Amino acid sequence: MTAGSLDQARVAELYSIYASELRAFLVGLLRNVDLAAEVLQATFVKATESGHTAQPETIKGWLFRVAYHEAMLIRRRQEIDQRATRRVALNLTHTSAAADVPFWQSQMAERVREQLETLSPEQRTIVRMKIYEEKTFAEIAAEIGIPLGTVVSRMRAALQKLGQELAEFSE
Amino acid sequence: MSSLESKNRSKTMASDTPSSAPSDSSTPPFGTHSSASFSSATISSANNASSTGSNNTSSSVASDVNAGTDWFDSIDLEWLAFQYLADELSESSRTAFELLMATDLAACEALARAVSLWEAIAHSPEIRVTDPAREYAARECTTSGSTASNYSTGQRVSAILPVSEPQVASGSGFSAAAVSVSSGQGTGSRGRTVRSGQQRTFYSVLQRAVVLAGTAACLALMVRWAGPASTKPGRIELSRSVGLAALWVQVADAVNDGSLNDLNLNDQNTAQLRDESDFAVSSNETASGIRSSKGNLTDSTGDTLTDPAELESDLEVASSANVSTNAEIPTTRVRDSVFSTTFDDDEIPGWMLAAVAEQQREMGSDPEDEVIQD
Repeated sequence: MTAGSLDQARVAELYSIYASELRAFLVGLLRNVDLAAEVLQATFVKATESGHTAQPETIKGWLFRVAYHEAMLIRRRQEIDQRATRRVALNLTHTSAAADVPFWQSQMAERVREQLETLSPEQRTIVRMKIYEEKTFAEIAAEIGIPLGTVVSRMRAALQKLGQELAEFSE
Repeated sequence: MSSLESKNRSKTMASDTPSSAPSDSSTPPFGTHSSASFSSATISSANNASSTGSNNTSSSVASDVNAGTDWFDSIDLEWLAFQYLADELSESSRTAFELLMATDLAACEALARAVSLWEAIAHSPEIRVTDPAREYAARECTTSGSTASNYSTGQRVSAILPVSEPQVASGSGFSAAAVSVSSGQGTGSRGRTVRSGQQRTFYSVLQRAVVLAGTAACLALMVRWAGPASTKPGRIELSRSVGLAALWVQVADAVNDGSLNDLNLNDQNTAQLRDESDFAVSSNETASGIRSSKGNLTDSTGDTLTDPAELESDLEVASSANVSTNAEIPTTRVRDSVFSTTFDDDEIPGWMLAAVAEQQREMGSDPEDEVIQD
C-alpha cells in the first residue's frame, strides 16, 4: 500500500456499499455488462490508489464521477457502436439469462413481479412491449392504436408503481 | 415518482453532504440540489456542463421531453433516466443527460435505479410467458376455431388445433408447444398435434359412423348381388359370412377401443397412436409424445411396465425412442399391428409367410435366407 492510498478494508467497505449501484449506473451508460464490470473494477482500483483525496462524506460522488469518466473513456476508446450499445434491453435480457442472479436481485424481481400483477392490463401490456419486446413508444402506439401520449403516460404510471416497490425493497 | 425521487434524493444528501462537511475541490457538485429546486437546478447544471458544446442543451432536454410528451409538466429525473435507458431521447437530449450525469449525482442515481428496475422486470419471467401466451392463444388459436382463456389468472389456454395444422412458434420468444403442452395436448414425433380428448372422441365417432355406413352399403350390395334366395343359395351364404365378419370386426374394435382408440398406419411404417392421454409412436423416430395421466403400460404378459428402457424394448421402438410416461397400451397389439419385423417365427401366420416368400421370389432372392429369421 503506497502512502496516501486508501486501505483495503475501506475499499472493501465502499465496494460492499456502492458496487451494485455503480454497476447498474455503468450498465446504463455502457449497455454492456462485461464492460460495466471492467469499469467497476477500474473505479475501485482508482479508489484504492487515490481515493484518499476525496472527502469521506462525498466519496459516493467521487466514485460515481470516476466511474463516469472511466466509462466514457472506454466508450471513446473502443468506439462502441452507439446505436448497438443503446439496445439495452437486448443486452440485459441476454445477460440476465446467463449471469448468476444474486439472491437479493431475484427477491427484488419477485417483488416486482408481484407488483406487475397489480398493474392494469393496459399498463402491463405497455411494460411488456417496451421491456421484453424492445419496442419504441411510437411503435407501441402504432401497434395498439392509441395515442403516443397515452402510451407514455401508462408507462410512466407503471414505472411509478414499480419504482416505489423497488425503493421500498432497497430500504 | 416524485415521492420516490425526493426520498432517494434526501437520503443521498444526508449521506453525502452533511452540513459540517468541508469543501473539497476534487469533489463534484453532487448532492447539492434541494428537492424543491431540483428541476431548475438540474437544468442549470446541464447548461453549465454543456457550455463547451451546445449552450442550450438543458432546454433541449426539456423541449425534447415536452415535445413528445405534452403531459409532461416537469423534469423528472427518474423518467428522464428511463427514457435515456430505453433510447427514447433524441441525440441532443441524450448528450445533455450524459453531461448532466457528469456533474449530478442525482442523475447518476436515477440511471442506476432505472437499470435496476429494468433488470428486475426483465428477471420476472412470468410476464414474459403469460401475456404472450394469452395473446398467442387469442391471435393464433382463435383463427383455427380454438378457444383461449386468461392464462395469467390461473386458467389454462385450451387450444384445439387440427391435427393437420402445424403449430408455429410466435416471434416473441414464446413457443407454441408450450400452449399445447400446458393445455394437456402433446406433439408427436413428427410435430403433429395429438388430438385432445374431445377431438378424439369426435373423430372416433365419425370414423365409426363412416365404417358402419360403408359396411351397411356393402351388405346391401351383397344382398342385391345374391338375388332371390331360391336361385342362388351359395351367394346368400357368402353374403351372410361377409356380414358376420363385418359385424365381428366392429364389435372387436369397439371392445378394444377403451385402451387403443385409433391406429393409423402409413407406408413409412409409422403409427400414430392415441389413447385417452395423448401419445404418439413412430417406428423410426422418437416416441416422446407418449404421455398419460392414468393407467400404466403393460407388456404382453400383463405386467406393468414403468422402466422406460423396458418399455422401449417391449414396444420395439427404435433406439432413438424416448418413452416418457405411462400409458395403458396393449403392447402385443401395437407390436403386431405396427412393427411387422418383430414377429416371432411361430407367431407369423402361414399365409403371410407364403406371401412374403412369393414376393421375395419375384424379387429374385432366396426366401429361406431372408424371411425366416429372428
